[in-house]
Amino acid sequence: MAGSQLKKLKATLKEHGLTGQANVKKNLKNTKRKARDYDREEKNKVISKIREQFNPFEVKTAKNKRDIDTRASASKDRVAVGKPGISKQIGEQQRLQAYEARKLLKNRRGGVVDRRFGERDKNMTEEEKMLERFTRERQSQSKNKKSLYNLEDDEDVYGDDNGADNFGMTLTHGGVALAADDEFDDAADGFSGKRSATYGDDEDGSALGNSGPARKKTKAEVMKEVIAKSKFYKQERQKTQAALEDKIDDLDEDFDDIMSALMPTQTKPKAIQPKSDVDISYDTKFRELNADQRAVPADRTKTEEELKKEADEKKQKLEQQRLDRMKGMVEDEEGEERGVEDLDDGFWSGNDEEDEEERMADSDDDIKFDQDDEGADSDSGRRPFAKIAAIPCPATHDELLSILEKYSLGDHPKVIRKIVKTYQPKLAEGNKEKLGKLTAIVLRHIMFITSQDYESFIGDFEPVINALISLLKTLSEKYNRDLSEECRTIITEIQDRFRKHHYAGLQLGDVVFFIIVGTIFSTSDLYHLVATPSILLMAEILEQLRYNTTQKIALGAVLAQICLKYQRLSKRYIPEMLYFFEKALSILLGSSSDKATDANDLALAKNTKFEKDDSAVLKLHQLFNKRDSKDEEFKKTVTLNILTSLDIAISSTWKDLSAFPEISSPIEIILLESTKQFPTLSRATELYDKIARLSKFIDHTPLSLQNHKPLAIPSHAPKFEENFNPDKKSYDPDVTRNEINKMKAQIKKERKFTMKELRKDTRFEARQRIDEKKKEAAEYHSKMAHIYNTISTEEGAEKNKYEREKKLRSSKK
Amino acid sequence: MSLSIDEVKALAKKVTTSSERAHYNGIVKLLAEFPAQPLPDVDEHGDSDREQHLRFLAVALFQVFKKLFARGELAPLSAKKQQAAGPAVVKFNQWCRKLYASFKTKLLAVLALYTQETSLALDCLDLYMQLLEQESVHFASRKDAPFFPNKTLAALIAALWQSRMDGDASQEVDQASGESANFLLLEFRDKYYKPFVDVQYYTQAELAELVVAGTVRTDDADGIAAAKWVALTNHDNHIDSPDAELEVFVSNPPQAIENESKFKGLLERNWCTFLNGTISPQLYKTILTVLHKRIIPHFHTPTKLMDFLTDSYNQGGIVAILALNGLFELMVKNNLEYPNFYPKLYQLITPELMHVKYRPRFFRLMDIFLASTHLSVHLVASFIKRLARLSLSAPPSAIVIVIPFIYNMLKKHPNCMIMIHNPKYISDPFQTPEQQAQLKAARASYADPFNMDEADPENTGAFGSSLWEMDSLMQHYHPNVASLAKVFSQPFKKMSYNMEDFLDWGYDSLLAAEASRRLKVLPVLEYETFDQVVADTPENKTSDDSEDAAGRAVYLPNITW
Repeated sequence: MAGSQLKKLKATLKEHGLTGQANVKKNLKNTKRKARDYDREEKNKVISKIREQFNPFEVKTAKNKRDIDTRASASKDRVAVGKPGISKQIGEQQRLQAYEARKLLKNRRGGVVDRRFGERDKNMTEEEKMLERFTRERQSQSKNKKSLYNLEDDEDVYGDDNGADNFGMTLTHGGVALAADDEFDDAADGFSGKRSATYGDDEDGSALGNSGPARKKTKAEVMKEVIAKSKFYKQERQKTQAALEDKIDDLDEDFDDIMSALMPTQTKPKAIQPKSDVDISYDTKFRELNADQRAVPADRTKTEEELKKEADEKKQKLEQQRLDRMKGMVEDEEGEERGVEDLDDGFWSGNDEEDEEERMADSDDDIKFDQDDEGADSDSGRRPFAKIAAIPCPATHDELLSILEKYSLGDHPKVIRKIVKTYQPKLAEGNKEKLGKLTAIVLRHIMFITSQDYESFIGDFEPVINALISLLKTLSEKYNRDLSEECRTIITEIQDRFRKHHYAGLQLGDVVFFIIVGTIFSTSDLYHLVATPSILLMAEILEQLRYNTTQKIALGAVLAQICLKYQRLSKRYIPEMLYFFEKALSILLGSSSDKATDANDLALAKNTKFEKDDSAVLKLHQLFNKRDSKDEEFKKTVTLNILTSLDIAISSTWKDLSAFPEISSPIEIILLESTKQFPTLSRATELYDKIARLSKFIDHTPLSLQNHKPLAIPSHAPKFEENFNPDKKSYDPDVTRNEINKMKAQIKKERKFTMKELRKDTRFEARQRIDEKKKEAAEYHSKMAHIYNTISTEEGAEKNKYEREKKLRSSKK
Repeated sequence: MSLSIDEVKALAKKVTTSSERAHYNGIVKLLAEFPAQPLPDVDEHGDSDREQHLRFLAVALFQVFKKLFARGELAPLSAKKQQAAGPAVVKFNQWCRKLYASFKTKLLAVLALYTQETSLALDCLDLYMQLLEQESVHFASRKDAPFFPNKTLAALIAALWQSRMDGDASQEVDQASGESANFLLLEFRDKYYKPFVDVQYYTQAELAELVVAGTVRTDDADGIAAAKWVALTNHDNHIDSPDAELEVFVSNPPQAIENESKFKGLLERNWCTFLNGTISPQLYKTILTVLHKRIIPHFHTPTKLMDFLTDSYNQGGIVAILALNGLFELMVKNNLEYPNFYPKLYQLITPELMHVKYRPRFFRLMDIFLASTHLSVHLVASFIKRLARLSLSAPPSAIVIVIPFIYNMLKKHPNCMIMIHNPKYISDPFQTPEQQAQLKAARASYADPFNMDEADPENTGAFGSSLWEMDSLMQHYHPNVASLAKVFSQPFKKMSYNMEDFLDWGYDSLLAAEASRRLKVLPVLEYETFDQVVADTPENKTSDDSEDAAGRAVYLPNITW
């Protein structure tokens, strides 16, 4: 296309049918249709396109990177990305608006801006204004409507048949709402093209405020208004309905008043009359009956089997817990399971830190003794010490001793039981602490009386000590804490004594203490605050005693038995016990190859004969009395006892260990020798055979302790980044840092933008101010010029007048 | 005996205040008063009067002689002076010197012959040493000439070595260490020997002479001479000790005392003589424990100790363990070549080792001896296996040494890992039947080749054995020991254990660690109940029904009250 820019423009406009004669008569129909097809907006679009085309600077373009291969590469090698001119213009307009708004508010107090629609429009009637406002309101509301298709959202209460209340949801065809079909048809039928600008005239008849801008409304606007209107009517109907309902409600409310006004009879409040006795008795009876518990079926007496089952279940549960503890699955307060390995973190190298709060054992329950205890108590009540109630609760062992002084040994358990009953925790505050102390004292007392020489009255002594121990066991359930603490103190004491005086520092009470710990505490636990130190201490005694008297060997034998009992369930290995067995047996059976031991004379006499019914039962009181250590009978008993323990050790613990042959080999040698020396010692022979038999069964093949699952080698293959771009900065593997950087970049960008905007604002404002100044100055100058002009014209006129007058006068002259 | 304190005072005063010769006879009287023999009836408490008297007398005499020193009447006269002074003066001088000598003898007699711990003897020792100081000033050949009265000191040393304490044996010899506990000797050591360089030097010199002369006998039956010697020298404050701070006792000692090398020679000579003499077993152990720290550094030629150490090492037992330290010192610093060292070391690992207190010391050294990676696998395996075997009857304190030790050894000699992990005997679900049959046969025919009684560590067969002992110790009753033993069944990730963390545990420290644990969670109670803790006594059993007794749960059935 050649020619000047103007020519080109004209040609283009014509091409698009935008210029030229609008109403060509000859093809009237076509044009009409055409005019109809062309929407205003479409026309605008076309015009703007043409404008773009003719102003290459109106559009900002960038190189097209997407469709390089398209045929129309020539035209599509650049794509539009923005319209700087227009956006600048928009910005300018916005600024201008803001500026003007600010200017309006300048030097004014308060900032209420009347934003009501048409408030200052003098061409609108009040009703029109209202209608318009309502329409706007609804429109803004409809924009906020969450979901267009939400059926639940429908507020149509009355089931209006008019579809228009589904606001904004109009069926269209070809962009034209179907609801407007009749209109369209009308227009198509006979109207001569120009539709009336307003919609309302055919319906309202009145209110033709057509003096406003005679702008042609778009289809969308028209539709909206139609819809708004129908909405308005619906609203009106709803209002009337609501008003009606209100009225009915009011009437309903008033009904009672009216009725009461109509009812002439009144009920007088009865005077309160004193109730007759009958009534009172009736009332009480009534209340009693009410308070009476309804007959409820009593808990069924459980059958024997059920009781047994329950007990079994409980036992099973306890056993399971015990097993867990044995394996070291300690459940501490947080409920976290702690494994064995946690136990010795830092144990060998440093101190362990202790910071935990103590846990309180709490239960105010009473101590309940077994039935037979109670019975024993009650019949003892007839005896002289029935007035025991006055006994103070002892706080130390000495106090207890001074209390017990008055009673015979046989009464000790009863007295203590009485004290416990007197100081039941429920009876008074502080009793719990007292009984806690008492528990510790009872333990001390047991240790005390067993340390006495009781051999002469052993018959009386035994039931007493048994009763005391069972009492302690009962108390221990409630006063565990006090008892445990006391036990730990006692362990330290025994250790101190043993360290300083060795054998001389020990008493029978200490042995009894170990036994009691074994019966009261769960010794099978992997770690136990009382049992672990006490078995450690027993092992120490076993290892460090110098076995040069039969009593010491007997003590060792008893300790070994207790140790075995401690490990009867957990079956842990005690090296010291092997050491003791080796030592003691080699001394007693005279096979000690060690010449240095000063205990060779403790060996059994060469001609000792063992009988079948020789007792293996050791008497505790013999452990610490200073009798002749050459008592053959005692030696025999000790020997048999040790052999019995050895048997238990072998069959309970050792046989399960992989090192059984290694463990038993020294014992085997001793036993072999002893069978030669003492053919009558059948026990030794049996044991020897047993060891030989068990050795056969044990799997004694080389270990494979390191047979671990093969460890996976961690793979460090490079991670492949898709769409890698070295320019991209965000290949940071650190996610947080990456985010931070992104945020920083965004902030920078925003700041830049804002700065730019602010600068533009200031520049605009400055420009505006200069404009205003100029305007003011121009006004001033023109005003002044005007004044000058008028003055000069007036002056001129006057002068002329004067001149004329002068001329006139002079002429007159 | 006849003079009262006032009289003594008067006599002494006369001599000290005036130089009138007539009064000098008072000295004779005073000396006569001083008994040459210890009082036979001296007992510890009842005799304070008498003792006080003697002490006063001694002090008075000391004052008198001090005055005489000051007057120059005791100093030996040179030939020139003798001529100048004339015979009377010479005679008087000799008379005075005789008196002085007899005073010294009497003081020494008190020291040597008193058999009880008295303060008198201590005072006499102090006085004697002060006289020594006086002598060093006044007996010098001329004024300000360096002089040390070594003969006087020699007499004192002879007296100290002669001194014996009666009564309780612990007064003469410390039972635990075997060192002398003679209070005079200890006083002399602490007050004079330790702080003064000249006393040290001349004591060593004179002691050497005395031994040669036979005055101090090292082969006495009870070994007390050696005990005294060790008591005197068992400290770190000798002249040649690196950080010793010493002073001089006399005002102007001869230069010789600064000769460190000479002193070393003397000390070395004395040590050798005493080590050759009689030594009590306790003292023997004490000497061996300090040998590497307090004896070898003082020797010019430590190899002189070689025979002593070798003999000790060959004795075996605890003595050998103790000798190991000294031996190590000699091997490292003096190129001592010890034949059959490792077999000897192997034989030292006896069951007793696990129970003696010198255990940490031994393990420390063994750690060094076995540190070499060039040792034969069989040797290392033997050591490991033997230690493991012994740990089966060892206290936990020994086990916690053995476990990390074995771990470190296994780390250092990975060949020995076969002792805890032998892949040949692992059954595998993917094995073919014949492989399984093979494995079964191998397992059945396996016999532990280890011979515990073999003395040579190269031939014990330990390498073919396995550490079942460590496997069993995972069932140890002490939870910490058990979990420590479990390292062998876990991957060997740790580089090595620091042995120092494990060497010094004992029952005391283990129990202390238990005691320090706070009662966080209440100890769990036993739910099982026992009717009786121990069985009935036979006397009581008759009263009980026999069938009833049978059904009762008894905690310890083999024990009665």
